Amino acid sequence: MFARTRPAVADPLPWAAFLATALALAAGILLHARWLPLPLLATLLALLAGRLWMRRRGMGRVPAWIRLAIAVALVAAVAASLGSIFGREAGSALLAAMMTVKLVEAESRRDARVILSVTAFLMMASFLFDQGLLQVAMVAGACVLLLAAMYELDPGTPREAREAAHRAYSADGLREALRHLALAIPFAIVCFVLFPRLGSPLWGAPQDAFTGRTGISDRMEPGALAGLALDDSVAMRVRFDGTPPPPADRYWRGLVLWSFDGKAWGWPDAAMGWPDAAVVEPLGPPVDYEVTLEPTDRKWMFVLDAPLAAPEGATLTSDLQARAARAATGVTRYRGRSAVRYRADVQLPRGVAYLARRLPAAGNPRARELAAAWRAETGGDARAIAARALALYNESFSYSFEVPLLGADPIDDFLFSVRSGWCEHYASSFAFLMRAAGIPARVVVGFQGGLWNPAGGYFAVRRSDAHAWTEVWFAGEGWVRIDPTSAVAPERVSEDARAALSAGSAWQGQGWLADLRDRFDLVGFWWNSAVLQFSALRQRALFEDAGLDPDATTTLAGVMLGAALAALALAGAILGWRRRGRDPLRDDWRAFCARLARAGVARHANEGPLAFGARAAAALPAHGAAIRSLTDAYAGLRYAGEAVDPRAVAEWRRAARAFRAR
Amino acid sequence: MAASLPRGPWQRLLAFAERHLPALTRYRRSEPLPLVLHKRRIYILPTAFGVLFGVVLATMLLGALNFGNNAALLLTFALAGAVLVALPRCVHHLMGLELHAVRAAPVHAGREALLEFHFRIADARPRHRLALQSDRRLVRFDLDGESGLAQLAVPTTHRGWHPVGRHTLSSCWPFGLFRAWSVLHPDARVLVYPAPEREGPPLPRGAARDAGLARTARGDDWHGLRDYRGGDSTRLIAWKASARQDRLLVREFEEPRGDDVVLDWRDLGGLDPEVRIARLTRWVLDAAAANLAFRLDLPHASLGPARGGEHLHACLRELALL
Repeated sequence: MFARTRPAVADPLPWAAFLATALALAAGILLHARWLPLPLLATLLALLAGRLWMRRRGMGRVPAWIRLAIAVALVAAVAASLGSIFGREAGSALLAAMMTVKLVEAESRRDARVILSVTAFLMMASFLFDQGLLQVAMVAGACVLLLAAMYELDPGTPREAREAAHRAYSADGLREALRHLALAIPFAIVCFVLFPRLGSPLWGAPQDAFTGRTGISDRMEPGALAGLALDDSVAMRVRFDGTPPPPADRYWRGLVLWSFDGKAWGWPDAAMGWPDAAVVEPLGPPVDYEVTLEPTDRKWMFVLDAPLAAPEGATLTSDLQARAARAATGVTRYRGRSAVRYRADVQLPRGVAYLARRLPAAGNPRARELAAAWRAETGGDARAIAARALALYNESFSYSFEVPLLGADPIDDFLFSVRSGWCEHYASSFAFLMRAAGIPARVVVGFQGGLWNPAGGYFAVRRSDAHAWTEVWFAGEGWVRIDPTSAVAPERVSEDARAALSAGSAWQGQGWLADLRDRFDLVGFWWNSAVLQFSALRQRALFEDAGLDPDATTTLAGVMLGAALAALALAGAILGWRRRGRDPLRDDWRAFCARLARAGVARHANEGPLAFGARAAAALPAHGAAIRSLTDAYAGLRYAGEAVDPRAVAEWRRAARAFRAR
Repeated sequence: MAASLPRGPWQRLLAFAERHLPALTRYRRSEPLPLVLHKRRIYILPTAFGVLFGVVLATMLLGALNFGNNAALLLTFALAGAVLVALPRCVHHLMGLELHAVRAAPVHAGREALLEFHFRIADARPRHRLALQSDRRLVRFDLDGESGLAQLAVPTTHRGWHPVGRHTLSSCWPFGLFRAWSVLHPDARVLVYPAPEREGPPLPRGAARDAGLARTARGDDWHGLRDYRGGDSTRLIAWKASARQDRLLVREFEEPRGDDVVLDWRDLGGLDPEVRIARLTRWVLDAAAANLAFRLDLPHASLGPARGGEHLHACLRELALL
């Protein structure tokens, strides 16, 4: 209660506030754990732990030259490990490093406040890497730590400081942090929905904003997709308007690779600007569908093979790739229309035919020999050559993720010695054989399959569904999809990569685990559609639905302000309601007094229960005894101190509520 | 307080504003107790930390909008919402407090008076991390339950009634982003006794003028018990009896009167009045310390002869207000 006076200027950072600040900063740094370079992360955490230990042991300040050396070394480490000090990753790393240095020298509350403010920014920056539900949950936890640390920074009484000597967070601080965040939810939702969005960014995204995510890349080397095979996270979700096509037709076309450099397939140098549009002639009813694509940081979009029209905001290239104008840094949703049975590009321009047959001048001699032999045997019949190649795979090859490293002639190694591999090996070697035999061929990379989610009514296509196949051009038929993997492991196409390797686990199959997975995925889908998908366009549509003119800025500002205030008022109302609910005895006493006031005897503000009881009993003699007994009992309960019998309180409340003055 | 503190231009401006714009400074003038803190007299502004955090939130908002990052946007709004919820809660933290008394045990001028601010809390909500501030003194305190007090030591310079003066009750609860404050200028005063003269002639011993018995704190014949009064020696407290009665009692004894001391204002003619008061104060204290019965003759009053704490305080009070 009583504190010694002390000057108001001193601003030292007590242990509890220091520890709370350090923990909040550590939480902010750990949010970036998955993309910070591991040595840097370990260094930062070690610095934090070391500083905490020194502080606990009561050691003095770290000398300025050591702090400076640490700062310089950390900046150099960031620049060395990330190649730059600008950009998304380097920026976050630098911020984390600088705040660690700041904590090493932090001695005042002011320092801690700066650290906490920047930690809030660090928390936001983590969403530039991952906006998934798991990240959201972790950031929410870090938010609580942040606010609780801010609570600890407020200088309390010396008594509180003594109690705080052995802890980081007080129960009060954690409770207030949770309470404030919970009460902020209505406000956050209102602002989120109504706050005006930018149609186009004010400044460009950092240069490395599009390299961070794992996923399909524009080069297909053996092994590139294998890393994805065990990644069960969702790459996209698809809802079909009508009946979904059968699994064997669910090929999600991503990008088309033309050039082979002896090892890897990549994008061509020339075909990108090929002027002619693809000619796709549907041979069946079109399929309409809606794709919700997780961030890829790439410009290509995945469409069901073969697309009849480009999704909104994208263009179809001459080789049927859908390319968006901007990289998909956030969750994107688009509609597509495709034909599962189709005929494409019956006429092949000479330039394209050249690109589709081009191989490096040398390398993989045995594969070339084999192709030449087939060509001689079949008399150049493209269909027959393709059938020979597939028959070869079918006879003696197996599907496996465990493939030894291939040598300088990877196709030869694969075809003649290893004889086992996964889709990339098959697609790559098949396209090579076709080209070596003089048949136009190209490699397509995308997804194949998708898991039906009955809870959400959509197909979840996971990263492990990444797939590579080939397209071969036959005279008179155009480009025909040939998936050599299906010659080896048909179940890869009818089910998925994992099922092709084993009989399938519970996670893949049916049962409660699959059900749980479906439900978890559904929550992710909702999060994507409701939150991450929300854009300037959706906002406009929302305003129009509500009968508001999306261009009337004054009206919208008014609506937003009003709604935000209403949200805050709601928070206040919840607080007020909780507070009233906390002392039921007092509430019933007030109700009792109000009843007497209506009967003509109002209690004065400064009148105690006993005096009021005497006066009311005198004024209402008919109820005198009842009033006196209630007021006396109330005074007893209210001022009896700690040891109040809850049963007596309950009894009094019953009696008070039953009392009627008329 | 009445201390002559350095007055900067800001203080002068405030003083000017109070003289010429009373409506704006209504709650800064002294008011009769009790003082209830209602919303119209509680002010709130963001602290430097609040401004910094606001700037960071604005930056986060800009970044989230620029990158079209909805999760970041939601985080920014959630934190901003928490800040905005903290604002009324900070005001609410002071609301409903009632300052119903300001007391202080009398001290001699030049010593620090310990002002006790007695608060009542109608709704018994715990109010933690409050700060009470006078010009250069600050005390932090918590209030739990329905009542509580804050003690603030303030310097005194001269004898007489001291107005309690203007104090600021403030709190940055819960996150230190905002500071809510209210100016408390209660119309209350505390008594400051004159400072005793440091050096001077010893206590004059006069002749006995009366005989009889006096109740004193020392002596042979036990007389009885009476309520504890400020100034009584703790050694005289009858602990067992006090425990039985639930209040502090002290023992009293009867002693035959010895020589009475007469301290007369008029005997000190020719001296400066303040010096006279200081000397009388010291004599009064010396006499009380020696447990002598004494009489104090002042221009308008004559006290005693008597002994004991009550008489001492009566004399000091007269001297303070002379």
